[in-house]
Amino acid sequence: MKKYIYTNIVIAILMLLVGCSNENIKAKLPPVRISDIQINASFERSYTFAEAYEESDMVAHIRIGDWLGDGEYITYFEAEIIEQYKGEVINEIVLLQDGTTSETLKGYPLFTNENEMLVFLKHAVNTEYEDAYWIIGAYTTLLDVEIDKNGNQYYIDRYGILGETISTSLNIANNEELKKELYRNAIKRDSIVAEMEYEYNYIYNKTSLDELMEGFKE
Amino acid sequence: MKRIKIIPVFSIILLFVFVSPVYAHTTSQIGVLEQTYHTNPNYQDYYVGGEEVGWSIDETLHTNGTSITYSFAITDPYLETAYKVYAIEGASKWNGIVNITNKLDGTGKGIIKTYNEENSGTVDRFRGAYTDANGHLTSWIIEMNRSYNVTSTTLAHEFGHVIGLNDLYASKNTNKLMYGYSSRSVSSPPYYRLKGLTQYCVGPYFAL
Repeated sequence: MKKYIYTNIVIAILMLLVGCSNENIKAKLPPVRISDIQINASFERSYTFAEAYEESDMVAHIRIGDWLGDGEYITYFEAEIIEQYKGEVINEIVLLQDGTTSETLKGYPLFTNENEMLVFLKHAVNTEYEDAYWIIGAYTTLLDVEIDKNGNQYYIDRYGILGETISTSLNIANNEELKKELYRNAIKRDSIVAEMEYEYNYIYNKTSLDELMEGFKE
Repeated sequence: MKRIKIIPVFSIILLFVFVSPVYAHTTSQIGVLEQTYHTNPNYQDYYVGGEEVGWSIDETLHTNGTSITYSFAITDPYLETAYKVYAIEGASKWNGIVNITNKLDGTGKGIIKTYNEENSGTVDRFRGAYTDANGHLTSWIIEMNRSYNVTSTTLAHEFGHVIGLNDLYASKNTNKLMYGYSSRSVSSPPYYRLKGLTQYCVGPYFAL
């Protein structure tokens, strides 16, 4: 009888530990993603898709992990490299986003866990993190990654800024059904998309932009 | 007895008359703008502007009238004379449209200061803006990033935000002061002209 009791106690402790462990791996999210007071930022320069590629230290499809906290003017996130197009091969980076939880840039909510995007990055200097990178044009050089019901991957320029510089022949946003589907999927993935006035007018097949970037290497 | 009852009722009415704010506009002014400008082909369907027409107004955040005041931050040791000159010159580019005055006694509604962030492509920032219920600015901050080449033009751009103008990003708008990049091809707002919507307290209204 005692043996059964001890066994049950051990199982209960193990279950408790597993529970605690799950609690520990819960993602750390930014407490605020759109601040009440917002920033209008003016940028040093604009980038075409080719220039953004050319001038970056790293180009990668990334997935946002934990929120690491605010700096004075920027926010830090862990990010996993899903696919890398340029730069030092690495699995994880610390990503710097313009804005903080107290003041975000207008129309540019702070990222959150599981956001996926194609970003053009510069190696950060004078930070406490070793492999830290910042997005060269903030929201002006950022493409969201989304998939359709068949698992096909797309890059979407929700701001329509970088997309304006990519050949119109590659833009498949005139496929209204696909556009609606990707927009719905984006909202499912991150509900904040529904709060913003994004227009999905620049959508690209992953393969077409991959080929474009492959061409930049030559 | 009746007199006693009347006094409190009368006081409440008086309180409403004198304490209630005068709501210049608590809702969108698009309808008002439409009524006013629908015959002007310059405006097309963009009554608060947009990339297509080369100007864009922030209805929720703008100045009230044509007088704007600012002061230099006294706590910023990096705010050297050169930065102050950029601000003064940037403000003067709006002369004839709005009057932007430097209040030396520190009582300006806006504060001009610097910051330093190497890990960002941001040259200047218009931030810390507080408004009243009508979207009229009560206080604001313009910050210049010391890591970049700030000019009087970039400052004139930031003052455009104080006035109530949004950034423009379309390549067709590189010749507008409110183009969101320092690579803009103009250094002052020559293409803009005041449309005088101050009667609606929308703030100055600009068009090509």
